[in-house]
Amino acid sequence: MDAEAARLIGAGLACSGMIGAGIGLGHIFGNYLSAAIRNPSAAKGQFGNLIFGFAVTEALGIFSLLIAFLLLFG
Amino acid sequence: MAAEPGKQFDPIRQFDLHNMVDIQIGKYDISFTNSSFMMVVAVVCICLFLYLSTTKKSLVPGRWQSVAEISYEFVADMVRSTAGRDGLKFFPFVYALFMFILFANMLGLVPFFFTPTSHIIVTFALAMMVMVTVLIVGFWKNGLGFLQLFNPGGVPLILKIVLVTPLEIISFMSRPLSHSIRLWANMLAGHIMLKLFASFIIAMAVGLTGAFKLGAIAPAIMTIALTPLEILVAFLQAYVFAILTSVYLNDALHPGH
Amino acid sequence: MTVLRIEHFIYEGHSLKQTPKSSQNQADALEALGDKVKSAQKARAPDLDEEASGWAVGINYASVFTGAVIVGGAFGYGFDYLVGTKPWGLMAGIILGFAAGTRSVVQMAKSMMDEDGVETGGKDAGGES
Repeated sequence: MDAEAARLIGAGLACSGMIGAGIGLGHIFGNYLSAAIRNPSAAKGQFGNLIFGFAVTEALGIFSLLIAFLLLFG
Repeated sequence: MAAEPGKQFDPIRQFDLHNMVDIQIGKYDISFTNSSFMMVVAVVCICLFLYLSTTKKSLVPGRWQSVAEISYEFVADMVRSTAGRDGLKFFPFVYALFMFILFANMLGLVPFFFTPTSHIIVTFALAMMVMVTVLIVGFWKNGLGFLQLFNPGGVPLILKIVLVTPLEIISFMSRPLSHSIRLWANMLAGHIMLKLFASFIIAMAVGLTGAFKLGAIAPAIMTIALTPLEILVAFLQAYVFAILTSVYLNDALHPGH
Repeated sequence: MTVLRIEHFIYEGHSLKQTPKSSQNQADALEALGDKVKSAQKARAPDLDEEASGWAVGINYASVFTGAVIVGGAFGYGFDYLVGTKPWGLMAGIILGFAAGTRSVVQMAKSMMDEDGVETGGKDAGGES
């Protein structure tokens, strides 16, 4: 296989890491929402934890995006 | 609509550009397209609306005049409350942006009309216009003091240099991008949804047999329900674009607040 | 909105005919009327934040986050291009852009929550605007 083609395919494959981040974000926000609906008064206190979880999960997604960009432009 | 099978219900085809007048300067293609045509139509509509509604300047405004006055006051209040009194100098700019986007969005909802704001290059050009204005005004009014915007107080120096200032700069520079994506994505998604549901009606009414044809009522109801939502989105996005423009102008006029 | 302004106008014209002695009274009354007009206008103005659909809010967040990441990456790439530190600038740029995007999203969510709190809670923030 051509090295160029392999590079492009690799970039595409690297992006599939974002699938996991998407699922994880869905879990985080969905669970936050269901918890917030059950106990709205406690929702505000957990906002920081929500953002922490969002940041960590999204960071993993960003890493795969980073690898894809490195393969494309690096 | 051309009746090529398969292509008929393609919801993306409504965003195709067609050259109306071919103009070529050097290697640049600056043809007059249907997008440019709709922009001209929007501008002409705004001019006609504002001109005709204010020719008969009566003390007790008629219907048209009061609509024009409301649009004026709405934007003026918005600019005053977000950018302060000296922000009113930029009222014509914000008003022009608001009216242009509003009319482009609203006219795009008319069947068979094209929506210029559903192309990201158009919204990006508008957002860059805002950005360049903000930069020029910021440096003109405050000189290098405008850079205070990137220098928030109450942070240790090391942290400031390594993290906070780059973050501020990136946030600032990403504004035109997010500003344009917001408007573009809203218009694009709305039009695709409308077109999809509208094509379901035809597909079900033509494709199914007998009593199943009545199933086409469901997407018809959905289309009818989506249309007012789209009108609301069209207005809301023009409003959001204008209010964010005045927020950014506020940053340029009063950095460090 | 317009009708109220005309009342205001008529009232002003009326006040000009008054003797100077009662002008203080008139000014007070005028101020009170102005307040009334303002509150009426506020009551009539459409509450746009309330009507914002969840869809628009979602696109708003996504655009802010994506924009920051893309601009951060572009900065990093440009830095690489100029200085010649091939992959590192891009990496640092994307991570910084991610941080900036997260921060903007957090700020937006915070301001939105505060607005909600004001609507259900007290009037303390309403006075200053």
